[in-house]
Amino acid sequence: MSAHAKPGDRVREPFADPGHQRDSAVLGIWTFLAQELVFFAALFSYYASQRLRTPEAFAAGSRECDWRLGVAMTALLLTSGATVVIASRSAALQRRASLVAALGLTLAQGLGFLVIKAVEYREHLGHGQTPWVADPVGSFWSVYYVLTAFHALHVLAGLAVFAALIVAALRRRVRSNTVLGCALYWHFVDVVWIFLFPLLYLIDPQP
Amino acid sequence: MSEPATTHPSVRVTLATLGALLALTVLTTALAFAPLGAAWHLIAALGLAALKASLVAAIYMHLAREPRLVHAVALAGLGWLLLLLTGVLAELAAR
Repeated sequence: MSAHAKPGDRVREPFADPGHQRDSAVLGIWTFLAQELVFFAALFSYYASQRLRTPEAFAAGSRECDWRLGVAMTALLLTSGATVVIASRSAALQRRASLVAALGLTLAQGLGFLVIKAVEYREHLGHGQTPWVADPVGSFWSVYYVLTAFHALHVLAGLAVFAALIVAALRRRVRSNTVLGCALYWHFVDVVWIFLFPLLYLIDPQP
Repeated sequence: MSEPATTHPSVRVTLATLGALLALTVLTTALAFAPLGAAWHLIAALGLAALKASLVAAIYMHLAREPRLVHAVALAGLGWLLLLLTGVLAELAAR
């Protein structure tokens, strides 16, 4: 039996024991995350090529992004990373009340992130800051919207999953490996933002 | 009271990691205002982001405590990322 074996989930075919089942789930999620990394690698390559081509556009465009909102969104995602660790741990230890509370906090913080992002989009669009404005600044907005929209879609998917997990936990049907997999996915979304924050908001910030 | 064993970090370690991640975010933001050159700004920002990502992967994602096969998969993903970025940057540098 694996050293990572834990109580909680019923062992299903074709797994030999809870540790085998848990390790297989983790390996599957990491394989999924590795291909997600390739997807974001393409987007970061797009960023690199455009920034090298038009560095002034990126400095000018970044000045239009409010770094204070960037810090707030980063703090929300980092804190939600901590609460989802607690959720996953609670699921493994079969502590349902703290699982539901931690998932609820994670969901609320993810929603807060999306609300701030939506406010930012409204501000930018209201000021005509779109990919269709003429170069040199247009290239920045093109990259900005592509990267942040794909990231926000990943956040949205995570929130849908967390909402479903809360419902399942309230019905006592949640499996700890499922929570573990969703938590690993959420951390990946967090890591992507850790890089997006300085690359978009802190190129040439204004006090 | 002793905690039952899981691969997850303890609540104390989780909160300490969060504190470190938030402190590194403050440092990243402060350095962006420091009178450094553009290249050093980028190096500092990406270096601190890599440090934060490593903390998340090693502790929050408990990669440090996973089997070697999981490490191999994670490194493969990182390898594809670096391969693609290197190719794009080399192509741009050659123009």
